Parts: sequence; structure tokens; C-alpha cells
Amino acid sequence: MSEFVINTKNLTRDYGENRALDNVNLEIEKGRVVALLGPNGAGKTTFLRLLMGLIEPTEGESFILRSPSRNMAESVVSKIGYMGDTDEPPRWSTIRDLMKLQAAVSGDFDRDFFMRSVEKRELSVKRSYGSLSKGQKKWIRAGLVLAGKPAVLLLDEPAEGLDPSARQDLYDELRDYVTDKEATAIVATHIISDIERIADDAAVIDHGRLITYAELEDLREQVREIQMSEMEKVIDFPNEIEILGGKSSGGTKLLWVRCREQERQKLEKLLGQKATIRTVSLETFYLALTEHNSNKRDAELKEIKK
Amino acid sequence: MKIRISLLKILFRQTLPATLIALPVGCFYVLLTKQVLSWRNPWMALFVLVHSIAIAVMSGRYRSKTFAFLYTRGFTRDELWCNKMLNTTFSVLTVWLPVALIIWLPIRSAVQDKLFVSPYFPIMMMREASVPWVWLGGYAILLPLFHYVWIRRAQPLRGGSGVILLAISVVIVIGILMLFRRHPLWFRFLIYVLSTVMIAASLIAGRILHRNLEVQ
Repeated sequence: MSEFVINTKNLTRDYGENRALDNVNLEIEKGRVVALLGPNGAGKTTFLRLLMGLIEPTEGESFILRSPSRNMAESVVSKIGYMGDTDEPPRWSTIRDLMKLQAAVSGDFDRDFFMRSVEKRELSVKRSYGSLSKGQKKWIRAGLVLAGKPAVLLLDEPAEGLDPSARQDLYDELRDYVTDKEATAIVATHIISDIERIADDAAVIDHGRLITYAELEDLREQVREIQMSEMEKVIDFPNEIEILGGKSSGGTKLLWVRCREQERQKLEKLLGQKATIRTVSLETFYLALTEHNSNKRDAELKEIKK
Repeated sequence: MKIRISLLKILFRQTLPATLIALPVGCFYVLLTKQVLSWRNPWMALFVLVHSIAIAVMSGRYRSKTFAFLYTRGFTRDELWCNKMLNTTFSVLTVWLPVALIIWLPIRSAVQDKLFVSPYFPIMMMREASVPWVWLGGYAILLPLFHYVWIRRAQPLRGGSGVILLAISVVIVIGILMLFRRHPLWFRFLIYVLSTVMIAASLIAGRILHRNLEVQ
């Protein structure tokens, strides 16, 4: 039987009259790295904060390592590595202070790993947190989280503000860590090309709703981009083929569809020479799902089908 | 629940501005006041009140980034609460103890004798010896209450202004009690009992609330 490390049931959170997260049900198995994708304000941060138990759900519940988020057992809370976008150490604290703080709570804190990561950025442990650049701050916080050897990682835009080389280093460290320790991670990010290298699954949230949660490999296999001329007449797609989105520009129509291998063959036969069918990157898939809001997308689909 | 020195260090640093201001103010006031100090001294009562508010506010910024950071390190809520209360005690003692020692040693009477040639200096230490304990009692009553009120008002719960009114009422009652020089023995006993109940209730309510507080 699969072991679910993270489990949410109808997780909902309202801020006043605004529903930030709407009925999210998710089960994440041990050792999975989940890319949490969605546009700004989609509900990613709220989702991670609910999982961490920082805020109370309006409805539903969430569990990490079978412990309810809002009342986590002592043995569980120290096994979670969290890096949010609204938490920062005091400006006056030195890197050494932060190392001691994290080491106090993470019984298995890897000082050598942390010191290596500090030296990698040519920093000194005597430096105060406030004197660091935005990228250096992110690097130090990520180093603290990974050195704490958590079983579960909840990371909200961990690479934001890092230069490309540091970003790559961070994701390499993250990949090595989750592989070695069989840790489970949820990484909310906008930089899809980076996370694509390390994620096993993708969860897309838009307007507080979980639109899709699937293995990345499946998504790559199933999602296709169809490019055809705008002059092409209306194509009657079989019902099994799910149209995710599309756009029309410069005399070319682009459609993103989701189908299984058998249906893909049908599709190829149906379209013949009229169109080109390609596999898509996660970024394209994500854009197909979230670029347009549902009304706009429906309207554009009608237009393209015409 | 464990005492975490590294966490205490950060919490103590948060309340340090209040400590650094209160320490010299308290010491100089006690050294330089010529009248014999009593538990009814309004300036020291105001000092205890303002110092308590400052500690509660500085250690309870629940919307600050630092708080979110501390609450996501892996400490349990109870650990955080316990260390916060411990830090409150340290912050108070850092100010209260030097002030009390100035009275008890007796540095105050010596200074009053040599510098100000105060006629009261021979009786000062004897008459003022119990006064620091009253100030400490004031901290013990006000701080758990202010901590609770400050957490409570920052939470998205109903009745936020109600708890502020409660704190104001307690301060007014203490102020009224201070207006009267002598209280009957039974009334003093009643005050002690009520104060103990209020301290215990504030601590318990604060701890329960702290377990459920939302960190923004």
C-alpha cells in the first residue's frame, strides 16, 4: 500500500469573501517531488501555509506524516523543512546565529553541509542576515532547510532572486537531497524549466482550485500541441481527446490537447497532413492550463474551432 | 518543552530596545528620587505599565517576517510559548534586579546621603525594602495579560476590542486601588487571591491561544 506523506481533504481557505483555496484534495506519496504551479494569486502560498499549519483552514483538513497540520506532533514538526515567501530571520542575526537556531531544533543538523554551502557563495558566518543580497538570503535559508535534513520539504519560490548559476546549484542540491534521503517535497515556483529537471509530479492550481495533479512523465506523454493553418476547416475531435487550451496568431492555430497513446494515433490519422503534432514542455502545458481564465479560454476555443 | 538558548537569544534581542531604555530610566529614577519610595509611587507604576506594554508588543509582532520564520523552524507551539515566557521573565529581571539591588544594597541611601544630603537616608532602605516586590507583582499581573491581549487582537477572531477593554479595565482598577493608602486585611487577601487567579487565567488562556494562533 502506498504511504501518503502529505494528504489534504477538501482543503479550503477564505480571506473574508475571497476564496483563496477551494476544496483541494491531494495525496502525495513518499519520495515524490511535486512542482506546485500556478499564476500569482492562484493559492500556492496559501496551500503551503495551510500544510505547515500556519493558518487555519476554513473547511477541510490536511496531514503531514499522518499528523494534522494544525496540531502537529513534536516528532513531526521538526521533520518539516519550510521556506516561505513571508518568513525571514531578523536582520541583525548572523549566519552563525541562524545555524545554531536550526541545529537546536533539527537533531541531525548537517553543519558540514551548511558550512560548505556558505563557503560556496564566499560568505562568512559572521555576516549579518540583513547585510546579504536578496539572492544570498535565499541561498542561506535554503541551506538551513536542507542542512536540517527534513523528511518533508515545503518550498515557496526557493530560487526567486537567485542568479542562474545559484539557481542551478540550488536545484542540484535539492535533487541530490531528495534522492539520497527519499524526502518528499512540494516546490511552488514560476521558473518551470528549473523544476522540470527535478520534479516527479506537477500540481497546477488556478483560482484556488487544483486543476491537475499528475506525473510529469504522463503529462509529457499525454499532452500534445497541434499546429495548423487558420484556413483549416473545423475539426471534430473525438470526445476522448481533452482540449486544454489554444491560441491563434499569425495565420496559425495552436491547440493543446490531452490524450492517451491510442487516441493520439487516432488524432494523427484524423489530422493527416493538415497539422503538425508535437510533444510539449511543462511550461507550455502550464501556460495552456492557466494562461487564460476559463471564460476567455472557452471563448477562444470556440473561435478556433470555427 | 525544552529551553532553547539560541531561540531565547533571538527573543531576548527582540525585546532588547525596551530593556535598554528601561534599565537606565529605572536605575536613575531610583537613585535620584529624593522622596521615600512607596508602592503607591505613580511614576514607578507608570514605568512598570509602559515597560510591560513594550515587552508584550515587541515580543508579539505576529505579522512580522521574523515571527513567521521562528514559527517555521520546527519548534512546537508549546516550545515557542515556553521560551517566550522565559524571555519575558529575563527581560523583566534584567531591569528589575538592578533597580531592586540599588535599593537593597543600599546604593540608593548612600547616594541620597552623600550627593543630596537627604534627611530620609537612614530610613530609606528599611521602608523601601518591600517596594521592589510590589513592582515585580505588577509585572506578574500585567505581562501575562498583555501577552494574551496582544496575541488575541492580532488574530482573525471576534472580540478583539473586548480584550483590549479588559486590559484597560485591569489597569484602571489597579490605579484606583493605588489611590487608597491602607486596605483592610481581608481586602488585601482578596486582592492577592484575585491577582493569582488572573495571572493563572491569563497564562492558561495565552498558552491555549498560542497553540492555535495564525501566523501571517
